[in-house]
Amino acid sequence: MKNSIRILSVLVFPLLLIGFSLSETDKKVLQYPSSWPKPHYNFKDNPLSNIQVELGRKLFYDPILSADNSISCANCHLSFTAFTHVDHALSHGINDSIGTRNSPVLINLAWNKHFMWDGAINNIEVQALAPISHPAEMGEELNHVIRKLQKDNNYPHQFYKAFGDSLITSQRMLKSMAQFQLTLVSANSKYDKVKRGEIKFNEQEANGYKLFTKLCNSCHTEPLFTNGGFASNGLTIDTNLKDVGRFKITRVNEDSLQFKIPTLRNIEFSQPYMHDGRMKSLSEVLRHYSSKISTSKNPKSDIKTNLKLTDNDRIDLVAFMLTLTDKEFLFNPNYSYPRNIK
Amino acid sequence: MLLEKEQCYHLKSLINSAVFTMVIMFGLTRIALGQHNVKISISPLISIHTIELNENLNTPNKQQLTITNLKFYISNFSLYKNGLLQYTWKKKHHLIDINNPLTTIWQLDSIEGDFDEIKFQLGIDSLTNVSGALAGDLDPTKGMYWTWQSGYINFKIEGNYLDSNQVNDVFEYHLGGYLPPFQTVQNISIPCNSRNEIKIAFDLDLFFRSSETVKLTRVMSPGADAQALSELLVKCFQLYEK
Repeated sequence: MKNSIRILSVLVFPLLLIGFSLSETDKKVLQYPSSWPKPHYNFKDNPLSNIQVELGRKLFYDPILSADNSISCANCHLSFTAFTHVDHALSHGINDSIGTRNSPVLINLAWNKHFMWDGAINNIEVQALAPISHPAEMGEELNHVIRKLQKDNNYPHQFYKAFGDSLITSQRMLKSMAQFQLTLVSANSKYDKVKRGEIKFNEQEANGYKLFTKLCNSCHTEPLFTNGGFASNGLTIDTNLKDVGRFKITRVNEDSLQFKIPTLRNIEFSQPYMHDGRMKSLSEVLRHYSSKISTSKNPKSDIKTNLKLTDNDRIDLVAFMLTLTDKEFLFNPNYSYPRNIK
Repeated sequence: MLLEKEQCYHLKSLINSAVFTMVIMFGLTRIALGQHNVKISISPLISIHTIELNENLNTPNKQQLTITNLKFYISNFSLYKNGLLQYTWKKKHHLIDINNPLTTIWQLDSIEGDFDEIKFQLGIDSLTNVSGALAGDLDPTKGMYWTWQSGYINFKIEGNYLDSNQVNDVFEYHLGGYLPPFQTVQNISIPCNSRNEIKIAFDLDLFFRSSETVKLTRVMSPGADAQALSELLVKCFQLYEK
C-alpha cells in the first residue's frame, strides 16, 4: 500500500506542476499606456486567457451566429477599417435587410460604460445578443446558435480547450466573444507617439491639436477621445428613421436625440460619420460644427452655437484627426480573420 | 495471515461504529439545535383556480381567458423574525416557469429556530442586471432577458381572452427594467408563523382586473407602464388559505 502511494505521488505531482504552469502562461493581461485610466470592465469575473480570446475571435468571424449562416460580426465590423462597416451609412444584414444605424467602431471597449449608439447594452458580454436576434442583422435565436455550436464538428473541441470540458453554454460563448473584443486596444497612433515624446506633430497637426483641446475635448476627451457619455451635437432628426436616441432606452425626456459620444480614434477609416452615417467626410463633419449648429432644428443640442473655425482651422483639425490613425491596430494579425484555428 | 485478517476485521468494525456514531450525533445535534427543513410552494391562481397553461380560466369579472406562458423570478427568498434576518435561501435567483411545475416547489434546509415573516423580491436586482452574461436560471436562453436592451424580464405572462369584445384578444406582459426612475423589481413581505410547509398564493385576479391591465394589452419594454403593472403584482402574494 505505502509503496504504491509513493509511486503515485511521484507521478502525479510533476503533472500537477505542469498543469499549473500551463494555465499561468495562458493568462493574458490587457496592455495599455500607464497614463490611461483603468478599464471600466470587471476582468475579475472574466479574466483574459489566450485560448478563450481565440475562441471568441473564431466566433466573431463565424456566420454560424446568423439564421442563414451568411452574416458574422465581421460583416459589419471589419478589422482593417477600425472594426466598422466602411462606406455604409446603414448596415445590411440577412436577406439584404437594412438597419437603422451606422455600425460603430470597436476600439478600446474595456473603457466603455455603455454600448450601442443609445447605450442599450450595459455590458460587452451581452452585446452580441442584440445583433444575433435582430431581424435585420443576424435574425437568429440564441437557443438555435447554442444548438448549432453543439452539433458542429469543431466547436465542442474548441470549448474543451478553452474551458476544460466541452459544455457549450450561452455564458461561455458570450464571455469568450467579449474577451476577444476587449483585446482590441488602439494606443499607438501618431498622436500617442507624440504624447510619449517619440516624434513631433507637424505645424498643421499641432495647430489642429490646439483647436481640438479648446473646442472638442470636453466631449471627445483624451486619451480615449470620448468621455463615454451621451450628447446631442445639433443633428436634426431624420424623418424617415425617426431615431430618438437614448430616450428610447431611458424614457426620460432630457435624453431625447442624445447619442453616445464615439471615439475619434482611427476616424480616418471609419467613414461615414454620425449615428446614421449621414456625413461622408471629416470636412463635412467640421462644416456641420462650424455652420449648421445655429440653424439646426434641434432644441436638445448640447452645442448651442456654431464653432468659430476658419477654412484653415478646419484643414488643421482634419490634419490632427488623421494623427489618430493607428496602423498597428488596423493591421494587427491577432485581430483579423483567424486562418490558423484548428 | 490470520493475524492480518483479524486486524482487517477489527478496523472495519471500528470504522462502522465511528460512522454510526457520527450519524446519530449529527441527528441529535440537529434536534438539539431545533434544525428542520421547510418546504415552500408558490401557486399561481386566478381567484380560486390554479393556473394551468392552455386551459380556459374564468376571471371573477366573468372574462374567460387562457394563459400560454407564465414565468417569473423570485430572488433572495428569506425568513425573518422580529424584523431580523434569520435565513436566506442559498439559491439567490430562482426562475418559476409554469411549464415546469417542479419550479414552484423547493425546500429550505436546516432552518434553525422560528420565524414570523417571509421576504423576497419579484424580479432581478439592478446589480445583477449589469453583471453581463450569467448562467443557470439567469441564462439568457431562458427567454427572460431582453436581447435588444440589457436587462432581465422580471415577470412574463402571455395568453389571450376567449369571449372577446377586445379587438386584440392577445395579451403579452414582459415586465422589467432597472434604470431609474422606472425600476420594476418589487419587494414582497408576507407575515407567516413558523411551520414546516409554507404555501404562497400568487393570485393574479387583481392584476387582470385592474384598469391599467385592461387598457394595455401589451407591455414589452421598460417604462412607466411596466412599473405600474409591476407594482400591482405586490398585492397578489399572500399565504394560501383554502
